[in-house]
Order: sequence, then C-alpha cells, then structure tokens
Amino acid sequence: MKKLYLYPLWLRVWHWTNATLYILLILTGISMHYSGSDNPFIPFKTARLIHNTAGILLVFMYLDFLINNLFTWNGKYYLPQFKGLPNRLYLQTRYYLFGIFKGEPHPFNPDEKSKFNPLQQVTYIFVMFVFMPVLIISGLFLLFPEYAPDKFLGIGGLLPMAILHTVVAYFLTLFTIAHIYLGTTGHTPASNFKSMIGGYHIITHEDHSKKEKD
Amino acid sequence: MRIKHKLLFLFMFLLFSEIPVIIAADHEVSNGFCLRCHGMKTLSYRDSTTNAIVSLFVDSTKFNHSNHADLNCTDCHTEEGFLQYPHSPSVKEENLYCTQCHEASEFKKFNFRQREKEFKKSVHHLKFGDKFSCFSCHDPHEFKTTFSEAIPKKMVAEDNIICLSCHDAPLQLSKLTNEPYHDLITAHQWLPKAQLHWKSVRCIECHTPATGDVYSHEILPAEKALKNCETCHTKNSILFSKLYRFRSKESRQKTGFFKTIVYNSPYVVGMTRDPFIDRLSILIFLLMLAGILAHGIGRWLATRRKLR
Ligand code: HEC
Ligand code: HEC
Ligand code: HEC
Ligand code: HEC
Ligand code: HEC
Ligand code: HEC
Ligand code: HEC
Repeated sequence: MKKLYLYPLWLRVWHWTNATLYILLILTGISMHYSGSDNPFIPFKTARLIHNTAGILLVFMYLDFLINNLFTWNGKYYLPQFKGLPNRLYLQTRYYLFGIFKGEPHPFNPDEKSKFNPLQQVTYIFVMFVFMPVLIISGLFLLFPEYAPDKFLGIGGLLPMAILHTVVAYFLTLFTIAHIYLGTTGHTPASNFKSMIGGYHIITHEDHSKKEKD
Repeated sequence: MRIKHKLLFLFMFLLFSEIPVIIAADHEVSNGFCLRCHGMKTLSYRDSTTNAIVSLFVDSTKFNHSNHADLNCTDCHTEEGFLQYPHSPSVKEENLYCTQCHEASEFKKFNFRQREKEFKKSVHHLKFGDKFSCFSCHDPHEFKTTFSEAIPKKMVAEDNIICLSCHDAPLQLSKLTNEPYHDLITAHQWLPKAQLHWKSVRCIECHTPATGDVYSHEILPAEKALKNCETCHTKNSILFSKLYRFRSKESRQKTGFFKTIVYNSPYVVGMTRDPFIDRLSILIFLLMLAGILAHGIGRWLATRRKLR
C-alpha cells in the first residue's frame, strides 16, 4: 500500500470551509426563496443574516482559491488536456454508468500529474471559472442593490440578477449533491472522504494492477 | 425673512387698512383675484397664540393640477368676507373639512367616511386632537389622488412624501410636539436597506393594520407596526392586497418573471417567483435524487453479488 500526498493542508481547509458554506447557503437560500409564515423553515431575518455572512465568506474563499492555485502546483490540475478529451470523458462516463456495477477498475487514478479524472476536471473548471464568478457577481449586486444597473436588457436591474443567481445556485446545488455522492465511489465508500481529511490518497492494489497493464 | 414680512405688512397696511374697500361685489370672482395676494410666496403671518409663522401662500401651478383645479377659490371659501380687504373678521369662523363637502354620492369611491373613521383612530388624532386634521397631510389646494394610477413606484413616492414631510423634517415636527426628534433611519435600524424599502413600499404598508385596505388611514402606534419580514417577503405578500391591489386579478395570481417585467414592479425576495422555474427546478432535483438512489442500489447489489 502506497500513500500519495495529494491534498495539502490549505486545500483541505479550503475544501471543508467551502463545503460548510455551500450547505449553509443552499439551506438559507432555499428558505428565503420559499419564505412564508405557512412554512417557517428558517426565519427570513435569520436566513438573510446567515446567507449574507456565508456569501461574503465565500467570496474570500474564492479569492483564496484563485491565489493559491496561481502560486502553488495545485493550479496545474485545472489546465485541461484537450487532446483525446472526448474519449477520456466517454471512458469515465461509461465507468460510472456500467463499469462500476461490474466491478471494473477506475479508468483514471489520481497521481501527481493529474489528480482529477476527466469528468471531474471539466466539471470543476465550469464550476470554479464559470458558475462561481456569475454567482458571486450576481450575489454582490443583490447585496448592494444600489449599485445594480437600473435597467439590464430593458428589465429592472435586480430581477435579471436574481434570476441568474437562483439558476446558477440551482446548478451548484446539483453539483454539490452529485459531488457528495460520487465521493462515495472510492475504494470504499468512505475512503475519498478520509483522503480529503488526512491529505493522502491511498493507492490500492487495484490501482497498481491497472498501472502494470498499461 | 422677518424684515421682509414686516415690510410687506407695512405696505399692506398703508395700502388698505385705512380704507376698507369692497373689492368685488356679488359677481363671480376669478382665482386670479385672490392669487394676486395669495400667489405671493412670502404672504404669511405670525400666529399670536402659537407664535408660529402661518403661510398664506397658495401655489397656483399645483392648484391647477390638483383634484380641485376646476373649482373657484370662492366655491370653497364661501364667506363673503373674503371678497374685501382686509377680510372681515367673520372669515375666522370658517371651518372646512374634507368630509363636509364630500358627502355626495359621486365621491363614494373615495370612501371619505371610512377615511375619517380610520383617521379618528390614528395615533395622530389620538395624540393631537384638533391640532391634527386631514389638512395636516393633505393641502386642499394641492391634493391629487393617485387612485387611478396602477404604477406602484409612483404611488409609493407620492404617498411617502406626505409622511416624510414631517417625519424627516425635525422643524415641522417641532411645531406639533416637544418630544425629542427620533430620526427615521435609527428607528428603522432593524430593517436592512431602509432607504431602499421606502422607495418600494409605502410607510402605511407597515404602519396601518395588515387587514386595512390600500388607503387605510389608521396609523398605529409604532410598537404595533409591522416588523415581520415574511409578511411581504413571501408568495402571498400583503403587498398584493395593499400596494399592488390595482393590478388586474389575473396578474395578481400569477406573480412570475414575466408579470414582474410587465408591471415593472421591483424584485422582492421570496415574493417574486417564477412558477415555471420553480417547478422545473424541483423536477430536476427529484430526477437527480432518483438517479442517485437507483445508482446507489445498483452498486450495493453489485458488491453483494461479488461477495457471494
Ligand atoms: C389684497 C390682498 C388679498 C386678496 C385679494 C385676498 N386676500 Fe385673503 N388674505 C390676505 C391677507 C393679508 C390675509 C392674512 C390677514 C387676514 O387674516 O386678514 C389673508 C387671509 C386669508 C385667509 C386665511 C384666513 C385665516 O385666518 O386663516 C383665507 C382663507 C383667504 N385669505 C382667502 C382669500 C380668498 C378666497 C380670496 C379671494 C376671494 C382672498 N383671500 C383675497 C390678503 C388678500
Ligand atoms: C376644495 C376647496 C378649496 C378651494 C377650491 C380653495 N381652498 Fe383655500 N382652503 C381650503 C381649506 C379646506 C382650507 C383650510 C385648510 C386648513 O385648515 O389648514 C383652506 C385654506 C386656505 C388658506 C389659509 C392658509 C392655508 O393654506 O391653510 C388660504 C390663504 C386659502 N385657502 C386660499 C385659497 C385660494 C387663494 C384659493 C383659490 C386659488 C383657494 N384657497 C381655493 C379649501 C379650498
Ligand atoms: C369646501 C368643499 C371641499 C372641501 C373642504 C374639499 N373638497 Fe374635494 N372637492 C370639492 C368639490 C366641489 C369637488 C368637485 C370638483 C370637480 O367636480 O371638478 C371636489 C373634488 C375632489 C376630488 C376629485 C373627485 C373626482 O371625482 O375626481 C377629490 C379626490 C377631492 N376633492 C379630495 C378632497 C380632499 C382629500 C379634501 C380634504 C383635504 C377635500 N377634497 C376637501 C369640494 C371640497
Ligand atoms: C397622516 C397623514 C394623513 C392624514 C391625517 C389624512 N390622510 Fe388621507 N391620505 C394620506 C396618504 C399617505 C394617502 C395616500 C396618498 C394619495 O393617494 O395621494 C391618502 C389618501 C387619501 C385619499 C385618496 C384615497 C384614494 O382613494 O385615492 C383620500 C380621499 C383621503 N386621503 C382623505 C382623507 C381624509 C378625509 C382625511 C381626514 C379625515 C385624511 N385623508 C387625513 C395621508 C393622510
Ligand atoms: C403634520 C406632520 C405629520 C405628518 C404629515 C405625519 N406625521 Fe406621524 N407624527 C407626527 C407627530 C408630531 C407625531 C408624534 C411624535 C412624538 O410625539 O414623538 C407623529 C407620530 C407618528 C407615529 C407614532 C410614533 C410613536 O411613537 O408611536 C407614527 C407611527 C407615525 N407618526 C407615522 C406617520 C405616517 C405613516 C405618516 C404618513 C402617512 C405620518 N406619520 C405623517 C407628525 C406627522
Ligand atoms: C417594513 C415596515 C416599515 C416601513 C416600510 C416603515 N416603517 Fe416606520 N416603523 C416600523 C416599525 C416596526 C417601527 C417600530 C420600531 C421599533 O419598535 O423599534 C417603526 C417606527 C416608526 C416611527 C416611530 C419612531 C420613534 O422611535 O418614535 C415612525 C415615526 C415611523 N416608523 C415612521 C415611518 C415613516 C414615515 C415611514 C415611511 C417613510 C415608515 N415608518 C416606514 C415599520 C416600518
Ligand atoms: C412592507 C413590506 C416589506 C417588509 C415588511 C419587509 N420588506 Fe424587505 N423588501 C420589500 C420590497 C418591496 C423590496 C424590494 C425593494 C427594491 O428592490 O426595490 C424589499 C427588499 C429587501 C431587501 C433587498 C433585496 C435585494 O435584492 O437586495 C432586503 C435585504 C430585504 N428586503 C430584507 C428585509 C428584511 C430582513 C425584512 C424584515 C426585517 C424586510 N425586508 C421586511 C418589502 C418589505
């Protein structure tokens, strides 16, 4: 059994803080969207306070993410290798849809050169560089509505921001659910969670046999 | 200012006081006649009992845009005494109320009776009695209803200016009360973005009973005012029975994305929801959860088979 140090401390702290903020934001966001005295999930006032605080912290977390990935080796994992990408995406999807039930080995295993499987990489790029900026910008406009454009595409300024914010938030909620579930598809259901806490990816025999075959 | 007034009164005094004149007899008097004097911005006097300066200025442009524009000054100020200068002492007896002239059935839609009843229960009347009247908020020479207008933003601005003309003006308040001035922002500190709220909701949304109608005049004591965010920030917002009451029924029931654009009303968290996006999002979430459940069960069965 070999251990691979893939997740440095800053990244783990970042990851779990982010995860907590995401959960808080999703719960309070849904509560505010469906607010009303007939279904008091979280009182509006409390929900707003938590949502705003968590939202601001998330902005800092995002900046932390950008800076750390710019100045450490972790950033390289986000650079996509376009050559053969469709085929690798196909392999990974096929594994999740079929291979996993037949006990096939993971088609791609994390190593120092590439930590993410192709599906992960593409998703993370979209999440971190498309959805997150849109979420943050629209969220900041909702936080400071006085700076929102009076008219945006001919519509009152806040409304398109709010719709954008909600829809992107829905996508990120879907991502979060999928991310947590796929986290259980490691060597054992808990092993990926353990790696993200301890920082080490455990290389199992299965991984080696795959490597030798290649 | 004072010097100017004194000069003005001196001028008036010299011009008229010694020679009481009947300026107009029994024929119709044009508004121009009264406005010759009352159209002067500076025309005012100092009340001998309260020591406050009372303006006698009537803004003719605002008058001509008011609900009363078609009336002559003398239609309301019927006292003969106004026709001469100085106005005979009998004019002091004149005591006009909104409701007094507005009994007629043609005014029914404005609910004058009900407004008066509500006003009698309001903090202002209870605190100040006769010192506070309809005219404290409505200048009969300028009053214009917003009744027929269904544009919420405009209605909000026009209504709130009435309250703000006192509550945002320490000087005006000091004429009525000796209590220290509470500034509005501090009083509403619990409300985030108070200024933003005041552009989109009327003061009376929160300061009159939630069951009251769109123009309820029953201003409640501050501690009874609406503080619960969910009353507005929800699908069944009270704003639909109050501020937005003039929207057509059909549009009130559907409060989605497109309706909001059409009615150009603000985005209100919790209230402005697009039913289509809501339903679609719930559907997608359910599909996803079902997918995950199926996948998980599949994996579980697969490992069990492998173990056997
Ligand atoms: C020549 C100038 C002049 C003209 C014309 C004039 N007024 Fe006056 N009016 C005054 C002055 C000065 C006062 C304040 C002194 C007083 O009460 O006599 C006053 C007072 C009043 C008051 C307030 C009474 C009170 O004590 O609250 C009313 C109401 C009024 N005028 C109505 C009219 C109407 C209606 C007309 C036209 C028919 C008219 N005035 C024409 C100069 C004028
Ligand atoms: C719809 C009826 C109505 C008409 C028309 C009207 N007034 Fe008045 N006016 C009133 C009432 C009611 C008051 C008493 C307000 C109060 O008690 O504060 C008043 C008060 C006044 C006063 C006393 C100072 C003040 O503003 O409170 C003056 C001066 C005056 N009117 C002048 C005029 C002149 C000049 C015109 C014509 C351009 C005119 N009014 C037309 C109803 C009317
Ligand atoms: C001295 C009598 C008198 C007083 C006092 C008076 N009004 Fe009027 N008001 C009238 C008359 C007469 C009309 C009808 C004008 C017309 O037909 O053009 C009228 C018209 C109106 C209208 C328009 C009605 C319509 O059908 O469009 C409104 C609203 C109104 N008044 C409100 C008020 C308010 C509010 C007050 C108190 C601040 C008030 N009035 C005080 C006599 C009065
Ligand atoms: C504390 C301030 C205040 C007082 C006092 C007050 N009103 Fe009003 N009134 C308002 C406000 C605010 C509105 C809404 C603004 C508008 O429609 O222009 C209004 C609107 C109205 C309207 C128009 C409603 C409609 O259907 O368009 C009438 C009529 C009216 N008031 C009559 C009265 C009468 C009669 C009195 C005296 C018994 C009175 N008001 C006293 C603040 C006041
Ligand atoms: C003519 C000036 C004037 C106007 C216009 C006016 N108010 Fe007032 N209001 C007062 C005064 C004076 C007090 C008493 C303040 C005090 O004693 O502390 C008062 C008291 C109140 C209170 C009670 C505060 C408490 O301590 O319980 C409320 C609520 C209120 N006003 C709301 C309104 C609203 C809403 C409007 C507009 C529809 C309005 N006022 C228009 C002068 C005004
Ligand atoms: C969202 C609801 C809401 C709106 C909108 C609102 N108020 Fe209030 N207001 C309140 C509540 C609740 C209180 C009591 C606050 C407390 O008890 O701490 C209050 C307090 C007050 C007081 C008493 C302040 C004091 O300390 O004596 C006044 C006066 C007042 N409001 C006037 C206004 C005016 C004028 C407007 C419109 C510009 C307005 N309010 C808009 C809810 C509202
Ligand atoms: C009388 C109705 C009413 C009440 C009560 C009310 N609000 Fe609002 N609120 C509105 C409206 C209408 C808007 C939309 C303002 C705009 O954007 O023009 C708004 C906007 C807001 C915003 C800004 C939204 C954004 O998109 O940035 C916040 C934050 C907010 N409200 C929080 C609260 C909280 C917290 C409370 C309770 C303490 C509360 N509101 C009570 C009507 C209300």
